Amino acid sequence: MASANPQRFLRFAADNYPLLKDILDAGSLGWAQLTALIERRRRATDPELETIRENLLALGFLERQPDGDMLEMPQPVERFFRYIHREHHLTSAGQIQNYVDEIARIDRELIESLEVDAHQRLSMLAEELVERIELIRHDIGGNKEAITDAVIHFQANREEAPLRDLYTRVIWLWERYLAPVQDLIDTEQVMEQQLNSLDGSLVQAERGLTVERPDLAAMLRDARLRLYRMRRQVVNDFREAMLELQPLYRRALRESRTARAASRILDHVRREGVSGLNLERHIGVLVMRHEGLFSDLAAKAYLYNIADYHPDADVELDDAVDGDDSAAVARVDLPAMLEQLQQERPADTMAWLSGQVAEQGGGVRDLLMAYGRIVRRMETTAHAEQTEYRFGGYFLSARPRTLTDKRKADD
Amino acid sequence: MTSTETSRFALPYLAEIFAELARGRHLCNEDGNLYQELQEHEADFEQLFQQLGYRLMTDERGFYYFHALEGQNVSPQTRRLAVFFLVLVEALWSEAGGAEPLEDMILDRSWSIGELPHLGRQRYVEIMGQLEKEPDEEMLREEVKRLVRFGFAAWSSDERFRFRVPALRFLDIAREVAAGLEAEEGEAGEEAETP
Repeated sequence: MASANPQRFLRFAADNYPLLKDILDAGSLGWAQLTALIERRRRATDPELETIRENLLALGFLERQPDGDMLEMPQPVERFFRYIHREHHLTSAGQIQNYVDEIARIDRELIESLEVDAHQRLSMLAEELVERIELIRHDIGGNKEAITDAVIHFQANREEAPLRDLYTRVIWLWERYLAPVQDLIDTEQVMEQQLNSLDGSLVQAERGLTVERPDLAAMLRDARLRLYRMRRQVVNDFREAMLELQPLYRRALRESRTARAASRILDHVRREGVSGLNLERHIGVLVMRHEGLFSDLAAKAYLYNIADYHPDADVELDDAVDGDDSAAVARVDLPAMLEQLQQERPADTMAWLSGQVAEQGGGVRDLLMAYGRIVRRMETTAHAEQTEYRFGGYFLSARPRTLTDKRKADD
Repeated sequence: MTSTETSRFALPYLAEIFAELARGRHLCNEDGNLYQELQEHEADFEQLFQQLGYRLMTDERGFYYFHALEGQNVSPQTRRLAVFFLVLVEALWSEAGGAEPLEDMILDRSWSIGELPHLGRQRYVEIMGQLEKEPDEEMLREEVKRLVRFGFAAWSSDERFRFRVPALRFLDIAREVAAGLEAEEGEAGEEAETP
């Protein structure tokens, strides 16, 4: 493979980028399709079609599939291009678990090497460790990006594919790539314990080597910092991927469950009839009666009483009407109270009045009469919201009123 | 101003609202004042109806209905409505392939009796045949009338009807009942495995 010359590889890639993108999108392709793609992208100054086709194979952009008839991009090259395009591949939790298992093995070997002062081995282990840590970091990061891409694709391309198919993929992404990662990062789980153990081993090794082999200590420190970064990023990536996918996943699950539930019930009805399902009890619509509006006569009478009540009727003040307020005068000094009100001008007339009437030994009738007098005869402004007032054993509600400057004309 | 001791249950449209709910109707915002007043005085209505022996249910999707209490008789007709509705759901899901969310598919379109899938597939005919009557267009029209009466649907023109938001209850019920069936089957399976 001519890709041993990286400059030539990269130069060809730069010159033929649109063609390579087409090949990437095509997946596997036959010779005729490849020829068509090259012809479409070839410019007047480009080499002959045959030369480009040979270079694609020689530089390792394409290889033959096992059956020999079809071509495809080798996986490392495909990954490279997808990485450049931010088209990330998905890594299963099983693959990530393999990396973690390898880390656990390296951890054990690290301790053994430390005990026998095998410094050369320690150095190689540190390199191996860094590689595994970075693999995990990139793969889980790739999963997050792939899930984000998928979510964007779902949301932007709804009309292109049936929702049912998209939902199937959402559920697959969730259950295969996201839920297992949750187990990996769960503090109760094995991965967490293995990474904690590695952290402890690295700290111990670093301390032991600081004086004697500062270069090795620095390598181990680098591995430890990469471990911290990886752990931090795995949690963040997982959380972000969750946030992206969770709403779609929930919806997908709900929709497909609902459709399945409908079919399941219909199957049951078809085979065994409808009566055993007790659907009517779930729906809970009461039997309709022409006159049975209430469950018993007492309740019926109660409702009639309510129906007879007229909430908007004027408050009756018995004989304590305007011009004949002797009953009230006997208890409260109404003119003096109104005079005082004019002077004090409280923000809430009713609240003020309640206090005054109570202080002078008046009852609720006195209060209502005084308030009625004020509302009818004095210029007030009412607030928008109703307020509740308590007076003795009564609860009264009214919009708070404040006195304005001028009296009404008839005062 | 009024004394609150007695005015709590002087609720607007009380008689109309009670009459509608008591005959099994589901009230949603399409019902104008009745729904608005229920929403405005929800707690008072709920308490009053509770005193009278009725359970007012409030659904967060925006509708109200009475749900039978233990021991109260329920309308057996409604089981037919559920089956009618679920046939439509299954047909929509399998035919439209979930082109849009299920709830939107149900609420956003209308049907004429002739467009309904219930008589178009043998499987659906068999299912509808379990509902005590031989399925035909007249039977479907009767079911739609009942759906309208209970507030699950509305006629949008002479020959077309559409579902109202309360019809989504049937989806909840389907999930609930199917979960029950699964649980029963699970238990039966376990018993069968026990030597």
